[in-house]
Amino acid sequence: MNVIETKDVSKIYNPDTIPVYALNKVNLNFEKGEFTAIVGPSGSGKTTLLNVIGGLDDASNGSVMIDGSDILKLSGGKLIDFRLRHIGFVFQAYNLIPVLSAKENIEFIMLLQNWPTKKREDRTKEMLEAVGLKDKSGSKPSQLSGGQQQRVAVARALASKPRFVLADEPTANLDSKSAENLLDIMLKLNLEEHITFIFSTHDPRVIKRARRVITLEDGKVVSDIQQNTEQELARQ
Amino acid sequence: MKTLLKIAWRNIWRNTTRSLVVVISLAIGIWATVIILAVSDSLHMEALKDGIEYKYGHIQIQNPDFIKNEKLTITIPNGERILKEIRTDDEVKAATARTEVSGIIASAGNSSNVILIGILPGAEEKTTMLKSRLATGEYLSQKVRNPIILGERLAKKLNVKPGNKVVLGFEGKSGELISSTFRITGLYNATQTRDEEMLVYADLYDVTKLAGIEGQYNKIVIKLKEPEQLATYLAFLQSKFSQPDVLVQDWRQANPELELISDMIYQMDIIMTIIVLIALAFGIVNTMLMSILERYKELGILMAIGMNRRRVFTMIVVETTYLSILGGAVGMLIGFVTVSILSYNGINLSLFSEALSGWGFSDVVYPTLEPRVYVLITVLVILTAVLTSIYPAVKALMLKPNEAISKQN
Repeated sequence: MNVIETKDVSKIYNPDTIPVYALNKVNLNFEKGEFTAIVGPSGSGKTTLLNVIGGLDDASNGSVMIDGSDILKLSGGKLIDFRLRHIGFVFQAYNLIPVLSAKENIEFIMLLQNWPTKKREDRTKEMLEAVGLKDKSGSKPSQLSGGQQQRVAVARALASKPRFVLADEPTANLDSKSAENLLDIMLKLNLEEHITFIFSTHDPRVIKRARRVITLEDGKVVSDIQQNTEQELARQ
Repeated sequence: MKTLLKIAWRNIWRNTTRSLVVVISLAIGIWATVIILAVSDSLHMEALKDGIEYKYGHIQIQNPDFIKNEKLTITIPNGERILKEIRTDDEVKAATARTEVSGIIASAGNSSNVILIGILPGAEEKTTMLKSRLATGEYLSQKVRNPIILGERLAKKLNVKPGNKVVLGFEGKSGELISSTFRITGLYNATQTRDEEMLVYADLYDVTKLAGIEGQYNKIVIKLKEPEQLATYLAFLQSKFSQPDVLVQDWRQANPELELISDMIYQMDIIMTIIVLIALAFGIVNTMLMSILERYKELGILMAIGMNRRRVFTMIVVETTYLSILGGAVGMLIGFVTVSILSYNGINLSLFSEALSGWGFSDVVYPTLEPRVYVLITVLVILTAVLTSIYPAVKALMLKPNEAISKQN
């Protein structure tokens, strides 16, 4: 079952002068529970594709269908609400709210969604445990390492149980140990919570563990490969 | 909302120095406004008190022709009867009568133009506080013939003192010059230089006798028990004496210069307050715009993860409101303490004594401010802050999340 469907999505800069195609007729389907890496050289359109799918950027042409609705046609307020209800974001630079603690950052989206207090607190606790930061719940982002901050960001993205999570180079700023650790957590949550993960990356470790790898070049999809992850290989 | 309030509160302390600078500037602005308003309010009240308590009372009755042509003979018809009737009214604390005529006063060495005011000793003290201003000698003593009291400045000009004689000349009933000798019994001082140089007080009986208009008055001055009843009682008197040759006016109508001073001070207060509020508004806009520029990326993230525009807008307005409430509270507190100290010790403005006395203000001012003014300033400050925060908040709403997120710090 498709969660996301992009149809002929193009993003063109300077259409009237010298057109630059950030995305060029991208047609992709994403199913529930996927763990997909979008790869490609810098400037190939990875971040733009994630931004368009997440409703953070407009497309020049095409449509992005999520549950039968074209999110490119949603107005500002409805789009923000859509993002709040359905999408979890993980950014390269963590981007936590600096004045809130790890616990408060994780529960922030649930607060925006008006979750009941008890349910919210239980879920926050569960997520803190899932990302291994139970003892850091009261720490502010500035008191956490990069890896810990990114784990909080993943917990924040997943806490409200979105339909899918978009992660833009989530391991780019992490050392190998932290990156491996984060991937373990993301895979575990993907399997346990059946949440679709789509992430852009250059990191071979991440690519190796993705189940599907989409390669972009000059805004075009040049390959779309299903692969067995190390875990599945090990399981087999 | 609770989370928004929490984030907004923490946000303002992310840059403690900047927030403290804003809070301190707000506090100083408000403190200065409070002091200025307290001083001007006190000067204003003093000018009114000077006018009402020492000269004009609450209500004056006169012949309207006397305003156009201040002649001794233009008197109030049945003045004695009117005065008697008024004194029986419950609203009236006291009432007195006066005659007024321009004249020339001369001593052995000098002379000066004056306004001779004939008063009813006894009734005048109940109605005004003229007697309390006596600086030297006695009030209109009945022990001497034709007693008179002068202002200290006039006495200095004429080089006379209590006990000396002066000659007063003024126009009589038929236009003839009446000249008579008066003996100075006392000297008074006044807050207004002009009064001290121009106004001389004699017994109404002596003046009217010299002018041949015994039992007639140019003015009746009324002091009320409750000043709040002025409008009602004025309307009552105006209706009671609605005849063309009797004009009943309150102190504002009878003395437009007093109202002018009131209006002037009121307008100055408004201008001062507006200047402070404008300065405050610019300070807030500057600070909040800086704060938003610094947090451009973060605001983009908030909007990306689902914080809607209404919440972002509210957060920024709340941050500004916090700063203004803090600055306002500190400013009000130090303003209140300063005014309380100054109202006890007074501010010595003798350096500007000449200018102040021209407006009827004394050298030492004891500033006070009504509680409602404190409340009004607080409300205005918070309102200004909230209104001013709209611009930075709207600027924040205009950011595009994807552009903000990709912005390098």
